[in-house]
Amino acid sequence: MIGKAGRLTRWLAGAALALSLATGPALADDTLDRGVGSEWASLDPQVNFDSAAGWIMADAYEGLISFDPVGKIIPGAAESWEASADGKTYTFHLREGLKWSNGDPLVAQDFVNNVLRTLNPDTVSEKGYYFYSTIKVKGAAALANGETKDPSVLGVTAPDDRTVVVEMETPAPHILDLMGSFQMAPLHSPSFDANGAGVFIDPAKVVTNGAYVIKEVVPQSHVLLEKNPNYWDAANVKIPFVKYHVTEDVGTELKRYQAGELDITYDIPLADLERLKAETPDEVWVFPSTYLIYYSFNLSNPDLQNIDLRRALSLALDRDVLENKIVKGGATPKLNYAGGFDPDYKGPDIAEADMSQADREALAKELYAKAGYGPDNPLKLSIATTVAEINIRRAQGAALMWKKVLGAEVEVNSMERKAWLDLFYTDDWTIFADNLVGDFAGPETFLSYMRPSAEPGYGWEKPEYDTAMDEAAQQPDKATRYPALAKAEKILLDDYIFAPISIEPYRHLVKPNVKGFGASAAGYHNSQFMTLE
Amino acid sequence: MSVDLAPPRGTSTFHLQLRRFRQNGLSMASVVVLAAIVVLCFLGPYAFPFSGEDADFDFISAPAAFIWPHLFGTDDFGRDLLVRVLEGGQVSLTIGFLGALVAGVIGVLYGAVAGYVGGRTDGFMMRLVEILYGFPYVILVILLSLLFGGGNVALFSAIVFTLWLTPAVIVRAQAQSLAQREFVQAARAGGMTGPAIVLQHIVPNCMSTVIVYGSLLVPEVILSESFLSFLGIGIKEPQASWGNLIQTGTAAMDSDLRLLLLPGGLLALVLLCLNFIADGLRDAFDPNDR
Repeated sequence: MIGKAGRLTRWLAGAALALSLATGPALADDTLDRGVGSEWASLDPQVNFDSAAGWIMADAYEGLISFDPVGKIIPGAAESWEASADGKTYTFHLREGLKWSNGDPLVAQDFVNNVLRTLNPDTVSEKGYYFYSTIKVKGAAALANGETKDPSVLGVTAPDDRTVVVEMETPAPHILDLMGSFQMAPLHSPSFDANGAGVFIDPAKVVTNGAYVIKEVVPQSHVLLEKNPNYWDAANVKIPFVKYHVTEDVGTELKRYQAGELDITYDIPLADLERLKAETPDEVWVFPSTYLIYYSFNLSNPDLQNIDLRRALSLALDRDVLENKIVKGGATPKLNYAGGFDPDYKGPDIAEADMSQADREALAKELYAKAGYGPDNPLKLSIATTVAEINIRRAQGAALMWKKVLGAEVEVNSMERKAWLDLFYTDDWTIFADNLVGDFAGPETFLSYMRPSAEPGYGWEKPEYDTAMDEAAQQPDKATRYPALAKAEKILLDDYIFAPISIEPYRHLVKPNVKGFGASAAGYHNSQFMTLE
Repeated sequence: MSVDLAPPRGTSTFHLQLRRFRQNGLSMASVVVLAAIVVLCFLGPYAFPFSGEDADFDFISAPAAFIWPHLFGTDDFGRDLLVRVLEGGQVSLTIGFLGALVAGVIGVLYGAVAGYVGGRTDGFMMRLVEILYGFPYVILVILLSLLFGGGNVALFSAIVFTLWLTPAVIVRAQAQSLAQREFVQAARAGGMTGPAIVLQHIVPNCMSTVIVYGSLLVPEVILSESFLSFLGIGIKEPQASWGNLIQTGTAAMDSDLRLLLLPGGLLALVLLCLNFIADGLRDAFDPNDR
């Protein structure tokens, strides 16, 4: 038996060697191989709404600003910028001598054209709302809903070749988060006008301004990028080639990573996470994203209209045990809604955050009894969740906790993602395993979603909250705006219309010889900052 | 062997068959093991201070250390594995025996009537069975789940709905030949009504076949239940059944084999026992069949 195994191992080693020789450049040291999960939805910089494809875009295109490996905003195509005193106008100054990959000069109007094309209804881009809702650029709404085709109404202008001015209706200190390649990639008009949208997936014709150019696009297989010699910082781009591989199945991706075909993975299978953490701790990267998980209570349900009961349900959850011992996906438990993303934001927690879990559970039992429930009259609810394994695990864990602490009978109702989304608006649910992916790592993107006027699905009426949010929107910078937002969040948390649970993390495996990969909540990992050793 | 040579007076065929069965060591051992499992499943959980749906968050994924109260450890939600497997056994065994009984009764009556009446009625009834045979099983279960809103009722009706067909066909063939026999003709000449003949002459004379087939039907039903729960259209969490316990166990197969071995082992044991018993019964009832 031993001899047989030995021969087999040698044979496999030989086969692996042959395979590596056959595959050639993919395994060579000059190529960074990265997994992107499912196939990129689009490589059109004004249309793509997929965060994994956003990595490819961030390598190929550069916005006015850029994100460093830990997610900090750094100058991109713009070397500096300033805000007006009222916080409504931002002026960006482009670097000198910027060029497109084909040598054409890159001018401020290319950035204006990006916004115009994104907003144009003919483009059918989902990203227009960044400019008329997330920040309120003058004229953006009118262009987006087709009221006008006149580009001069837009509040994004290019007074000269090296200046981009953004004028907004209300101050928005988070504007810089939206000036990266995902929302603000410049548009090379000559190639686009000549070839239409097909140009973006045609390596022979596509023109980019980022650290890399698109060299090869093979559907359902990979996108190969090559270093762009015309990039302004090309001297500091160390890796000549980057290859983005489609890795649909997370289990297969892990095997490819272990076989050396990938340097950075898209995800890590939950079942293998603990083992990998123990075996190769320095290759496992698990860090917070902007993916927030919370359980919403249906306020039109007669049981859940009682705030004592909602409070009891929220307090009965031991989030630490739930995330770290049951789900084990590396999520960060939390007791608030918008905190934990931007470290500058000092928002409130739920009122009982200082209590120990045992005290919280005791209080929960008290409130549950006060609301009129007990062993003879147990609360009966169901949790609506998607069929994703991690979501079902979390819901089952929460149901068991509610049964253990309160004696409530909660069933888990899992369904396809689309049915789950539709259910939310039918009002035919009691507890909704909710989530929200923030557009940037700041409190505003989350808190503005909970405005009763923004999301009627919750059936929450709270004029005080709207007023507090409006007040915050008038503040020009983070220093004054964040305390105002914290005040609004307190109003939100005090109503217990949901139980905050956790922040779902990004999970990546990164080979030890890849340097320059960082934990970025923004989720950008530009290859230009990485090196292969 | 002397027993065979000088049977006591008044021994009926049934007693002879029973005696033949008792002499089959493997079958008798299976009966004992099966009875032990049934008793354990139905009485065992009462020995524990918690049910299989109560989680103990201090002991999540506890290993099988044979320490009270979590003898075989807990699953990854902190629920006691042994209690869950026993409670799952209750569900699986109940559905198995009840399902086989209901399917058997429906099938026997249907087949006996068709076989005895014969002619056009027989043709119609048997064509109906053939049509029902044609329905794809899993699709039928999904449709019935939609109809009954999922859950145990849908599962049970789906299993019964598909499994009564075979006993119907078997009994019909027997009934057809029985209907031509002298004693049935005598009963008819004596003025006995059709239903009475079916119930008093046809069905009792089919009994040995039915018992043999029924004992094979039980494991089939248990397997169906487990298979459907494994696919997620049977018994739903948090209620346990062997099927969904095995499914959870398969997912954790790489890290914790115990979650798969305990329910899987018990299911295999029960299925083997039932098949050995069926084997023994067949030998006892129809020694010429070997």
